[in-house]
Amino acid sequence: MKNHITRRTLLRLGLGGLGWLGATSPLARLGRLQAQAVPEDPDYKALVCIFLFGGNDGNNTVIPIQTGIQTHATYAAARGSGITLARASLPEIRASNGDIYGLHPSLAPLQALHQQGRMSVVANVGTLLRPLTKAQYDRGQVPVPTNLFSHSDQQQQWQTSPGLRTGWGGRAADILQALNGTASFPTGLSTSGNPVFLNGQNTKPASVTNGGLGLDGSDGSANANVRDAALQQLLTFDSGMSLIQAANRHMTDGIAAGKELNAALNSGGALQTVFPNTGLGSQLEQVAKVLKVRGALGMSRQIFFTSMGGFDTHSNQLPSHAALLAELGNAMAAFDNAIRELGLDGKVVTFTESEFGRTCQPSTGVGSDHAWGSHQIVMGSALRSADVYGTFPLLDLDGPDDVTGRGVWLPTASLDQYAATLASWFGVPDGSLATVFPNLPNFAQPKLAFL
Amino acid sequence: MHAPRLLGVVLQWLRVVLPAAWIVLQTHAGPVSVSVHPTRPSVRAETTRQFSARQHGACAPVTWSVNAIVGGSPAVGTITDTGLYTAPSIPPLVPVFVRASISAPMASGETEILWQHPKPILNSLQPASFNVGRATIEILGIGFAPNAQVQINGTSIPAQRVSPDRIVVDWNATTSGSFTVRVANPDPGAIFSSGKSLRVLPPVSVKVSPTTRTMRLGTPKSFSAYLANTTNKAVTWLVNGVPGGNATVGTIDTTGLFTAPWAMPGSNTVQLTAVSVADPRATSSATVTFVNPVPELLATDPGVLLIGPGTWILRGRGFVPGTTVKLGDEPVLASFLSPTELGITSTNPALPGGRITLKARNPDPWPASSEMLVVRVEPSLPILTHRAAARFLEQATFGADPVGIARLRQIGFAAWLDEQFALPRSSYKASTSASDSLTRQQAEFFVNAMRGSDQLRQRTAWALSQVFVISGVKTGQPRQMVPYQNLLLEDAFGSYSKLLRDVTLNPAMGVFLDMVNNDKADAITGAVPNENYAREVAQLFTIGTVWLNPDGTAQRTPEGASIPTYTQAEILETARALTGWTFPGKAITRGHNRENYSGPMIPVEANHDTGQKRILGGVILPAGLTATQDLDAVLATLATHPNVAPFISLRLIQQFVVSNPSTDYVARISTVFRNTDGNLGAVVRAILLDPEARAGDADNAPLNTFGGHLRQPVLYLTGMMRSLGATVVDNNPVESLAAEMGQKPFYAPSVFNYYSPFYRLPSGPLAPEFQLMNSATALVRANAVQSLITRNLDGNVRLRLTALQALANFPDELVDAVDHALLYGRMPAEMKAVITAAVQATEGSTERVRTALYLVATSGKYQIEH
Repeated sequence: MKNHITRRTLLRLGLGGLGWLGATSPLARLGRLQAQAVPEDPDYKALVCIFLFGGNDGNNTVIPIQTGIQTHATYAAARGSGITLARASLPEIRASNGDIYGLHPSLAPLQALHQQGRMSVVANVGTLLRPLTKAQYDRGQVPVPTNLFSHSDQQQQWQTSPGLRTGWGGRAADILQALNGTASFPTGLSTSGNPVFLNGQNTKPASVTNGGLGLDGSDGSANANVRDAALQQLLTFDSGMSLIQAANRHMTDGIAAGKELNAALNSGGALQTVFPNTGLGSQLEQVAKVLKVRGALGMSRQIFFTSMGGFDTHSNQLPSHAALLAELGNAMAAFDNAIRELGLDGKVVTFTESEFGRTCQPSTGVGSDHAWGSHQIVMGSALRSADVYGTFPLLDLDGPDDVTGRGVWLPTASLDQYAATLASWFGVPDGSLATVFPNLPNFAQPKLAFL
Repeated sequence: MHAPRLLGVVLQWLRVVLPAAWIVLQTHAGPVSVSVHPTRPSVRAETTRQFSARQHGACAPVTWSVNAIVGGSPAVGTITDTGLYTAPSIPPLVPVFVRASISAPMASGETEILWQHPKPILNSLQPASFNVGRATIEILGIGFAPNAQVQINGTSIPAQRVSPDRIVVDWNATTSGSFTVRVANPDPGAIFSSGKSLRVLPPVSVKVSPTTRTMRLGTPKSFSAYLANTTNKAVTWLVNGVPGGNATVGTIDTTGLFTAPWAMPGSNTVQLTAVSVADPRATSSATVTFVNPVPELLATDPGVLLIGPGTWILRGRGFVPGTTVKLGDEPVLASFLSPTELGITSTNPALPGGRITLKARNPDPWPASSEMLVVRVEPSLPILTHRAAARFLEQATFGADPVGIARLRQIGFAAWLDEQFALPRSSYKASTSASDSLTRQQAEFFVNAMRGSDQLRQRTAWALSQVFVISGVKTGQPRQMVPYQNLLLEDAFGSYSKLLRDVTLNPAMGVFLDMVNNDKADAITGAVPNENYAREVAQLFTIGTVWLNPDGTAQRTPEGASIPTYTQAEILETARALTGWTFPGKAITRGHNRENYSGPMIPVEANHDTGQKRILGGVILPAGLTATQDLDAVLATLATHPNVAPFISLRLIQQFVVSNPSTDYVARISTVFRNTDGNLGAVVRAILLDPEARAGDADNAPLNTFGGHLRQPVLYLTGMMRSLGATVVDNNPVESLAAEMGQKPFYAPSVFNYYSPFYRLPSGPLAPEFQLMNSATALVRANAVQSLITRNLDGNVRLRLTALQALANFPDELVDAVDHALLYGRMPAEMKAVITAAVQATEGSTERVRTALYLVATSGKYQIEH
């Protein structure tokens, strides 16, 4: 057991550049050569998605304190007694129109970023096929995405856009992968399994975990070389079975990407920024390390997928949500430091997604249920300005924005608009946005203002 | 000796020469006379002498004659016209006179010739050398007179003069050395030949080397015979006096290569003798002491051993009384039948590779082991093939272990299933621990999976735990998880309705999906009933989000849209119907019981929403029903929904058999589900016995392009371990490997399990487990294999690789064995060629086994169970 932990630790170190390949290994040298040969693209851009699985409670993420239409009291009245955050505890941010909002106390690290113009809120984003009113929703006159309150369906739709099977990140990569020229490293990289988000028609992502940069036992010994050569040969055989082909493809890609990434990381040198030792902290640290060696990898465009789970706060929400947002806020703040350390200011945009918001009305058990529109956080100095973008819903149960009576907000911005804004900044030409987001033409404003 | 001879010569000279001179003197006194010179010469046989004639008073031509014959004759010698006389080779019988005559005037003169024996000449002695002792020596030469004498070193030896050129003597040489042989011709003209050297050698001797030797029976060794005092190096070899020997005492060829017999002769020694061909008296012997042979194994009879106890014959050679035999690592009872047969009584184990090694060892003297013999081991009287049984077991259990395969092959699917349904269930040890650690239970899970006999029940419970999910993410205390997992084990073969009710009322599920203490709306806090369980019981445990056909496909509107099974409003109202339940404990009328997981939740009517509800499917529950009545109605509504059969059937088929079942397969299982009122045992049986599940059993089964399913991490590990006959320790950390691959037992990320039943490959087919497979986890999976086979997960797992290691020097057998164990003999030829070559190129027997296992276990062919 002890050795086992040691191995994992070593592999984690591998991401720090002390990997299983020695610094003088041929691959490491190859990495350095690449680093010298390929100049960094001055037009480099990266998108970093942080997916909050379970449905983040936007109502307790961004709280109106004093806006044109409502105050903290409006919020408190709708939330009831159990899960309401006290006004005094909320770090304030100010929208460009003077409205004052509070962030969840755990997001205090993001308050400063807002003040520096590096972080914004995009209000009430949700999955939509086309714009609709509450009346239209009630009468079922305008189609809405299927299974609005189902985790699995909405997680899928936030990553793909409703009705599609490929991910919008993957489709954006399809269009932009030419910018990466001859680089063999995939445009999409996940630190969190294999999200459909990064699956394009023509592009496929790689994944990294703490345990998988290379094949254990590939120590350069004669026996290991024999084994690995045979393994590679076996991977070329076609079994005629789809699933076997798929398994072989993942292994082939994993070996190639692992070698390439490891070689590049060995050429990278250490990251100075200290990340919190949390799940998201580790993931964003991995992203930062890959960003650091973007030149060695020959990348001009990269899309990263990271995630957190546990946001399905049906009960006992206050402590668990506070812990979750603390992990989020601290990891994002550290990542922003890393962006600056790497000289990538203005070239990386980090954004949250989550399958839905939560009912404003509390549920028995001091929690909240599945809802719809919710607020997202975007981060990066490329933002137009620090603001609260979009239309904040009126926190009124059974009010004009509530479609069920429990505080389920009808989104005022669609996922497609939110995503198209990000994709457009990333480089997808306006003429291609409708290809990536087929629902986009249904909305008068294809892009939101935050970028 | 010289004086008398000289005297004789002088006397003869006086007798011959004086009268002739007198004659010459007489003739010379006349007017014409002829005289012949020389007078009275001695002439040795076959030598010539020139005569001349002196004429007094004449000068006429001379005619030469011998004894009045002009020109002479062979008997008296011949003479030429010029007076050259040649003496006859043999002594003339009469006195010989050479006469010279002239005719005008007629006159003549003559002189007597004194014939002498020739000087004998020795050309050779045969033999010129010989060993001490009596020898007949042929003396070859010329001019040997009758009565010629032979002297050896001056001593006359009786000799037989055979002819003028051959004398034979018979001589007993008593000492070795160099001797001079001469031949003497007698008078007239007695004379010795010159000497010829005769070599007398010491006696012939033979020396055999080595003179003593210890030899294993059945082995050859060369012996040498060194001969002295003879040029004839040939020997005749005898074994115990028998030329060339025989099968009993051993055989020896002309070069001295002795091959010991395989069986011990009466005595453990034999005598090897070399006899000089030159002198058969010259012999030498060696003593060979036999020790036990290195036994050789040829085959077993029968050729395939049968699993279990039995007796059989081991054929080979070099067996001795006391030969011991090991079957694999285990000594077996071996009785000596003959040097070529042992009778064996053994209990033959079922092994991963289906092959076992045999080794025989002979005792003292000089104990020795045979090379290994690889023999196949099979169950007796099988009614299923290895492939069929192994495929079935990897679908129905945590892995196809060799013992289980053997048993299934003998009893068949139906009997196996009956047996499994009747077995008492494994269960997790009760725990009241509220600590946030399921480490012990995770270890227990793997212990049960590896050792528990109720494999089908456990496997079914594991499948159900991935449909009716609770997770340690939220319910991570042993007191929560243990009763829940035990519930799944208990209900695994029972009715779906009972399972649904037990799951619904389980307090851990109550906590996980917030049904416990889920009270009616509270005007003071503003809280309304929690929707969590109401939604997920519908979406994930019973009917799903869309209407299904009996074959599992979604029903569609004419426009192609799917049809929702419920609305958000119905979820809200169903949540109300499910209010009022608290932890088990004493019956109460208000408030909540303390946390307690030992039993089903109980109702608190005061907390129940008694208003009318329009629940899922539009069913109206009238106002005033109790918590139990409302719950019963909700569960009945769900359990009797037509979606349930295809919904549950698809998930269980995916768990047990295949990711992409045909719609017919789903429909058949749905039918069983409906016909049995959702009897899960019957459903599982039907899933496993379905023709589609069994289609791959046949040796010539066609390839199903979309067949199989990726081994989920837990089953990847347990399957590999069980197939390789592994054991795990009680406090094993196997879960850590599964966790790295994305399936930490009891810790699904959410109620949506580790993966979605609807996850598809980009190319289209459903592939739920592939949601955990990517470029990173592909390496993690390979590294998990590496960890298992090289470090045994740090000693917590024991893979019994010795049987495979024994095959390390037989790369073909080794790869066949791994194929047998993991792929059930389905390894394609090209794959086998690559792996066999890699094994051959690998140094070290352990490493060879690891190479073979690694390459097979990491291959797509193995990772996709099919």
